[in-house]
Amino acid sequence: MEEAVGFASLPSTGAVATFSGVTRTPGHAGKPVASLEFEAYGPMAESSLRSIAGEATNKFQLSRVVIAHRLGVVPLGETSLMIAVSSPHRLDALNALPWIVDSVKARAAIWKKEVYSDSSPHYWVNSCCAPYTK
Amino acid sequence: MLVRVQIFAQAKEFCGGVSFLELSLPEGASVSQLRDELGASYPTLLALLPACRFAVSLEFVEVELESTRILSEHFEIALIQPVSGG
Repeated sequence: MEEAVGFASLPSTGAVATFSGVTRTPGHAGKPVASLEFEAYGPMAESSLRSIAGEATNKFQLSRVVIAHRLGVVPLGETSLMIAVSSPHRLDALNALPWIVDSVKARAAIWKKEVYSDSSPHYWVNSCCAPYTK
Repeated sequence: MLVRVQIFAQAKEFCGGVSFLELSLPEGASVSQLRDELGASYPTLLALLPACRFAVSLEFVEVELESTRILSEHFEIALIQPVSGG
């Protein structure tokens, strides 16, 4: 995050706002989450994050935008989605964050599954179907 | 023609862990025909398919336009179930 803030900061930016999406517990149906695991359709996910960054820059008059999404296992308490934005004045940076988070969640070709610390089977978030069982 | 469809996450689990499915389609087949053929050839995907969209050459194909989006053998195709990033 420090690196992201450093990148976002310019002499003209009076505000740098950040967001960290962190693995938390409990998860779906109140189950105890041990970790999240993320999988992505890489090229498409990357292209959508770039588009979101570009749109946010125009929409909120931002100076710099950093959006980073970790893949693989993200244990409890660790960050999967990191956003840093900067602007000359604070309101633009602050208002951009929820829009960017919502856009990433709606558009990026990334999927997360909850892995539990009890014996419950894992759960693919937003899934319409029960987990695969042999 | 032989087309390859990349699959991810739960779809991958439903297909035994493979990352790509291969199907034979007639020349000039549409995304709509691909959808039907996927369900027929990989029945473990049937429950998931209605919630899925396709991406062709890294762009989503609107469901309403699937019957007119024509495929070619070298196109990059992916099956995209409801996303859950972030």
